[in-house]
Amino acid sequence: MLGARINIENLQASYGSVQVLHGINLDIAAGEFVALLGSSGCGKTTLLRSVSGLFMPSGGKIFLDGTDITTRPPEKRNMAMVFQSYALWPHMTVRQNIGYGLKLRGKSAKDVNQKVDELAAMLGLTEFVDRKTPQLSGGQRQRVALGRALAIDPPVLLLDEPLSNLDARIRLSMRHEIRMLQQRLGITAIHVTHDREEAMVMADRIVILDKGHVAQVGAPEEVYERPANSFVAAFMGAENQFRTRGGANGEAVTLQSDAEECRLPKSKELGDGGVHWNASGNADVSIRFRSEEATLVPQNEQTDGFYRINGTIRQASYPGGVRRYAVQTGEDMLIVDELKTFSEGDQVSICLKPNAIHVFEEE
Amino acid sequence: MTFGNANEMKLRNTHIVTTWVSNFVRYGILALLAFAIFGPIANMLLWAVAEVWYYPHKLPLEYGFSFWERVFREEGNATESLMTSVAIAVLTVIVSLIVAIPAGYSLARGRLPWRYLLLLIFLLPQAFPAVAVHMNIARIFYGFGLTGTIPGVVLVHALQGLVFAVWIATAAFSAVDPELEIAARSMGASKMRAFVDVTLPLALPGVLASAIFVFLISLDEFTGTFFVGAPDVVTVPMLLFTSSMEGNYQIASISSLILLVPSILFMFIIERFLKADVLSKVGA
Repeated sequence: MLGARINIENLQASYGSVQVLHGINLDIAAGEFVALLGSSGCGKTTLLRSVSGLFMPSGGKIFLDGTDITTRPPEKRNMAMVFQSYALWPHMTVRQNIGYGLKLRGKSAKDVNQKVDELAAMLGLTEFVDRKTPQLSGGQRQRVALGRALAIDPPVLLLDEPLSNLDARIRLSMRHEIRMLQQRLGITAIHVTHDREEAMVMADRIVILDKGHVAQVGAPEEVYERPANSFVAAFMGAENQFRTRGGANGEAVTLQSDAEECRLPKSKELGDGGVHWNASGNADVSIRFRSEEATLVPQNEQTDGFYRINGTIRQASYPGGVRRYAVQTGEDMLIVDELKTFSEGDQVSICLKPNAIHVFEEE
Repeated sequence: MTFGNANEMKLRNTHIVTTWVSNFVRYGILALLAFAIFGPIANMLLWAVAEVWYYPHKLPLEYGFSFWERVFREEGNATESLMTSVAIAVLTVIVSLIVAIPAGYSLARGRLPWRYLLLLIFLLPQAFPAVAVHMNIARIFYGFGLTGTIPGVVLVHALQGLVFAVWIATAAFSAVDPELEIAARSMGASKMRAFVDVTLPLALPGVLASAIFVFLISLDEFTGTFFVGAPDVVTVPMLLFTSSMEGNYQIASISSLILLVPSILFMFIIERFLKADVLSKVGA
């Protein structure tokens, strides 16, 4: 069973007078794993439910392998959905839950049982098939929900935050299990999540949604290293932000740093180690960087090839592995993770390698 | 252990005394409650087996079952009216469920505008004096030729049963997570199929409870039956009324006892089927 291709054109959706999707365009290839990533209220679940047919969009079109399915009822779309709440039927056994879709499709009891046994074995549920679902643990329920969805050999699997109710440990292993299953079966998957790392490790491509707009679509490395705008950069962990003056011409970037100007290489493609420049001309710009991609040195120590800003350590904490410092630079408070030990009040420089720097238009 | 033994004893004694007092109060309250509930029933039981009992005697002068024989005799009408009562109750349940299941489901899913207004409309007949309502119903039913017929009585009973049936069914359907139904739809079930396979079985305990409730209301109903059914349709409460009017407390008590049987059965069934989460949503 191969996956199906999905094309979403200018999709709009609203709850009453509140518009939650403002013209979404998205093309998903057959067999691709796409993560819809965004904070709560960004419209990612609405987008998924529109694809599944459980929510009627107010405009735009959805195509499945080229056929317009925008108004087709959910039961005729052949997409299986896995819910955050698992939505298992408590009055049925695991076997009945998993076999339900097949029963609906008129399969004989023998075929249903065979398929259920197969899936139960694959998901490690064999010993639980005759239990009612309320007797299962969270991880087991999640597997049943997955088994129920996979039983009908769906060309498209829709995952609505399926891992967010699980324990952290089980969540990590389920990510890989789901990804491996999807790759093995070759089905198309759309996964809704607010967990960046989950989206990064599971998906072929990530769609970042911001207030009902697509903020960026791209492979995990792309959205991580070349965030299209300040919002995406922040969502991808570059929470530190400060303003300065800067300009770019051809190969190089000039950024104002405390007293002097700093010339750094400009990035042209992924992984060339240059500054990610995403502003227009010479002007006030906004710089974003990740706490773990910066280092701290005492102000009097010399460095080479770094962009430096001076500051004072206001707070030191230990989250484990590294030390975390809150550094005051001018009016900004920046967070830096560093192995070396400093104390509160120390005068330090935050050092950024060119590829740690993301420059955006001043907001 | 050796030190403080006296203290410990003293503590234990006070503890025993306070426990004793609190137990006394607790059992006292229980006894009062039991008297309030079982006192009238005891009186009824006594009347049911009394052959001769008159003022100023505190207890019957003679006991026996001759009135039971009279009640269950062919001419006593008890068996026949019990049959009529049960038949009417069963039909009332069917009529009520036919309305209450779709109504309760729609109200629970909140797809109907003015849902509270609708729930209030079902309550409306209860807000007016039953006699006035039933008299007018009888007048209207007369026009349709429904007076003195079983369908007429069933409709009158259903009118009263529906309040409870719709409210309880609404609560039962509200207790079912809509996502469970959505999951069935996404697996390929039509709306109807999802309802039959998922929502209805999960709401069934509540729906059953409402059915039993309606059954009991119908068994017990008097004024509606009196205005619409009399004299052709004779249910047990009608029989009870007639015998009470004649001053025959024995027959009245025996009829009441017959009516008590389904009520007690109801208690057991409701206790087994009705989940707390359903009850808590009644009227929500």
